[in-house]
Amino acid sequence: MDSVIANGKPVAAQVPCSLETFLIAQKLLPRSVVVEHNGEAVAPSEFSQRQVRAGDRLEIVKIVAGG
Amino acid sequence: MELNNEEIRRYSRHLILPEVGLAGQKKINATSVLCIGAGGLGSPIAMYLAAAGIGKLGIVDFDTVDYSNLQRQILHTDADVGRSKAESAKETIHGINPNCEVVIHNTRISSENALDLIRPYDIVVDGTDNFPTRYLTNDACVLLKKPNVYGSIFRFEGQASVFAPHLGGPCYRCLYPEPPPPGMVPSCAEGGVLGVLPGIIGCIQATEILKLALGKGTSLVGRLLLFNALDLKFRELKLRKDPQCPICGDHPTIKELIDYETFCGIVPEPENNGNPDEVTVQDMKNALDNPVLGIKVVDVREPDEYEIAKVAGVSLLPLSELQSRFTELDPNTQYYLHCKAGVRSMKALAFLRQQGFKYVKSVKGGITAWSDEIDRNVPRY
Repeated sequence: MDSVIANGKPVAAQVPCSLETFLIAQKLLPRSVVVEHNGEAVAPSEFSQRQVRAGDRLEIVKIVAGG
Repeated sequence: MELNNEEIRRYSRHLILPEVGLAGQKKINATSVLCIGAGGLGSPIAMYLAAAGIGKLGIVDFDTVDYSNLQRQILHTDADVGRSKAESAKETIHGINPNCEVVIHNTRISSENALDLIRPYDIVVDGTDNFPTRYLTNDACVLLKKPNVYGSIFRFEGQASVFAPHLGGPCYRCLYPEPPPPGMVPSCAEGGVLGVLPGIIGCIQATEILKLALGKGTSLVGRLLLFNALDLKFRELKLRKDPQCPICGDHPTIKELIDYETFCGIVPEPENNGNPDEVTVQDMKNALDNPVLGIKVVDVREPDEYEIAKVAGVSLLPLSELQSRFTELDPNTQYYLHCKAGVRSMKALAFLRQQGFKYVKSVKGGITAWSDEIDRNVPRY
């Protein structure tokens, strides 16, 4: 399986696929994460069209609410 | 407003900074900030802003000080336990800088009062601890065009940003259009938080507020700053305004405040009769006192929590291991599951039901309710 670099670490993934599909495969809620793709900001409404390819760099942050 | 001699001495280390100076200090003194939440984040925010000379500080908090707050909520002292957080905060702030006008709002911020609470202030800072209040704060700030200085924390990690669609940046909903389903993201009460973490994130929020007041530097608008205390690393994500955002996008669908509890999937608990999947701590006591009933009680908390507080006669099977170890349980036995407060035991219940367990109940209020209602010797944590 190919891999992408998520938060600096290689992650095996069935790519190419949409960012939304990738997030769901990683057991992440697409509406509850912030993603930067190859250094670019991505709005949540673009997740389903944005294509993730082998070797891409993703920074992913999960929502937290504590204060 | 001119600074008097006492103020010139008090703010001297600001006055000699070329980026602040007398003109900048006057701007700080003329700025009003509404701090929503006087807890972990609210503590350093309110204390540093008051010390820095923010002219008017509003504090919104309906809660009272609890012992479990003192590990991080430095606005409050041991002697304040049981007092209103807003009152306690006012006293601490006044002790730091009596020139700071403190307005306390000893109330729960809601869709009914949020716009009126926020309107008189220049800047809002989000130091809340739950999703409904974060979405409410965001929406009210977007509607009123107020900068919303955001921070949130969990365990060893924190995030901060400045949301200001009216200044060209994104809002909270551009990042997180919808809240996670209830119970999916644990709170600090469930997952814990390192005591100094809100100190670090809160100080970043206070820094951003002072920069907004001064109109200096590069703000966190359009950036999400992340901090990890274990690795002691900062990283940063670029953010963008989402044209599809339901409140600040090109075609907004939210034009007034909504019901945020419903939006976040929080259903008000019915009185008394409650949920048929739940039993009370009294039922759990009956089960433990009368083995003849054949009801087994299982604690689904993590082992570290079990070490802190446990009930005799209860076996431990952490929720994190349930998927791999549920076969240790008998699908035909009746189980009462408990956790700390009743959320994780409901998740464990849902999982076991899927595996064909018919006779499983969740103990409402968990070991916290046990400590309150059955045995005070079991520590609350």
